[in-house]
Amino acid sequence: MPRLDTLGLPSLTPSVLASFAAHGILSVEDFLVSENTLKLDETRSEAQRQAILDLVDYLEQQSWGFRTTWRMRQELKARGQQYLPTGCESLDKLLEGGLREGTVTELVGGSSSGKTQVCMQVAANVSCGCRAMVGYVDTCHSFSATRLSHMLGGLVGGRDASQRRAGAADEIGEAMKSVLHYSIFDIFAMLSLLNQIHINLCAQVQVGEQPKTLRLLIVDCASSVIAPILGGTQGHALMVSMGIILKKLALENHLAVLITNHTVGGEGGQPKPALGETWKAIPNVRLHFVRDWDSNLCHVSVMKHATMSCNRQTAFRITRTGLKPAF
Amino acid sequence: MDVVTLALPPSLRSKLLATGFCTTTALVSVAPFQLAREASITLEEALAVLSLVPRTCSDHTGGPVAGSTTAWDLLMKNERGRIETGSVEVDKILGGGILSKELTEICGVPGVGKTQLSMQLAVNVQIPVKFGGVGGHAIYIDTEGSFMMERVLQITEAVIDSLRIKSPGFSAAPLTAEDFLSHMYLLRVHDPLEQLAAVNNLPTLLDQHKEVKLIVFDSITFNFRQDFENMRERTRLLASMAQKLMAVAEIYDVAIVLVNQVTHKVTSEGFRTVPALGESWSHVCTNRLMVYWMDGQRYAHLAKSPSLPVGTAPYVITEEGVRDAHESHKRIKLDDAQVRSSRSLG
Repeated sequence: MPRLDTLGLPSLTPSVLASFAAHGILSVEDFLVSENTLKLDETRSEAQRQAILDLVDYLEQQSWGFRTTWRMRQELKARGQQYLPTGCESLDKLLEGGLREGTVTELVGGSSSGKTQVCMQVAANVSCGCRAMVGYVDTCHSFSATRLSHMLGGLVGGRDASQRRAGAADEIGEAMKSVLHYSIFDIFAMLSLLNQIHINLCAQVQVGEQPKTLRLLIVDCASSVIAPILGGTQGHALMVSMGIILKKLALENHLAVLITNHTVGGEGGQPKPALGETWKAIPNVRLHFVRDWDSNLCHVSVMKHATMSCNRQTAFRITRTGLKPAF
Repeated sequence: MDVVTLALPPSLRSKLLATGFCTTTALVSVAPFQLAREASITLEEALAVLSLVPRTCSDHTGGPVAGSTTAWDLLMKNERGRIETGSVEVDKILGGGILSKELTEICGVPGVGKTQLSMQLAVNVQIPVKFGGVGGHAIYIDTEGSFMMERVLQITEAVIDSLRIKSPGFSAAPLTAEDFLSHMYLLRVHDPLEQLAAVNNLPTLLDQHKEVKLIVFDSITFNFRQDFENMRERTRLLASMAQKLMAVAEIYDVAIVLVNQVTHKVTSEGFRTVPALGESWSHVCTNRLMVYWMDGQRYAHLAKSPSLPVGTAPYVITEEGVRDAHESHKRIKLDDAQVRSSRSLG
């Protein structure tokens, strides 16, 4: 919430501001939580009353106002494609199309259960198939450009370079140029990056032929920047801030956000998602990964979903050229 | 965006909050001197605060945020040197050896060769570029007191001998054991606090020794295994240590090898051997190499890697160091039956 003096309202003269400040009202937030601001009685001067009315007007303009569900539906329709296919058939089937734009999807699983492989597969598929830009925020050094190029190779066809059709190499190169990789190792850098992306996307002006747009943001792994600060003095607040900005990026910038989370030992030694109950509210979709080492299959189950029933399962196999459905 | 999310010292943060600067939008349009006056902080502090505030970029293309590298550029400069383990088979499952900028964890039971493998790597990293090596220095952080000078000398001499045989140009550039040993910096730490200090101190150390290409922690576990009163505190300390190590690996382009111990996890079917330090630690390392005994043979198993498939390779430890497994080297060990009976007795 901005400070009152930055609003630029003409009725907020220095003397009015000073009188507000005397009551500890400096920002819009202070104004809203203050108990008797809206009282327009005789104790206030004409200028003060005018300022309060202007402020209320200003706040009304700022709010989004009501939208009908029908209107929302029309807007979504006009926007076109809502699902970004993951490039893994079994996952697309499980999610009925793929990652939904405007939502946060979380992959939960133990170490080497296949989360990063899914992240890279989705990055490959969206950069190549959807011709969109992908932001890949890497917090644990797990991104491998070589691996991504193998997956892209699998997507454009052919088992190796010699079998690929002409132009495939260019296609791979083009796709790889639209995957943006960020190495981030602490929560403050993470928050500032996410905010900067949000600000840049909001400032985006549609002019003429648009270059590729950012449609997918991957954070692998989200929990590893949060884990070190949890339990500290402001760890919880920072975790919530990160959740909020991820949701903002999804909703306001219409991105599909994909994050990963690790597991910790829960009751009775059963693994459960890390980061606890508060974080649970952040992702719209939560998928749980378990790798079966005997069959080398990755089993995926739906833990939480906004529009579909839970506990449905599927499995995939990790191969050199990407993730293939298990037969 | 809340002011809380900016990396500021607590005193500065509370001053900002008390004067109504709760969000960064409030800070965008304020001048440094004005901020300094209103929040009663120094001008330097005000400038520092304002430099952290994200701003709308001027060109309005709304494109990517600075600081990114495209996957294409990463692929093109992927020519990073790999540090060989001494065994061709093990190198094969690692895709050629240990890679810089990555954290590689080696875990296994005592006596399977974790320390031997780490010492071998600390020697091999120094093989000069013209002999096909990386030509870097090594930092060896010893927490268990298991580093043996005599053994390193033995390994070094074996490496020099093999270079002499393999490389015709050797006589032009003779290498001595002294060269190798004087570029291996040893650090002995005794308790968790010293270990955390050592990790914090790494950037300073690396600024002074820019040739360092490998940092070995043997072991990362030891100091953190003794009964920590508060296990949550332990998890947090480990996680923040891991984060710092990752940043160091990335910024200074070094390979980091972390030796980890194993522990028994009791399950409904009995117990199985798992790496120590718990599940959240498993996420820290980029690669995980499990070393274990099977039928009197040492094996290395790549259990986790973002870019390589799972793989297993046998190896041996000879007088010269880590080498490929051949039949003649197979060590006679108790058979499985004996091991099992002794276990049931225990």
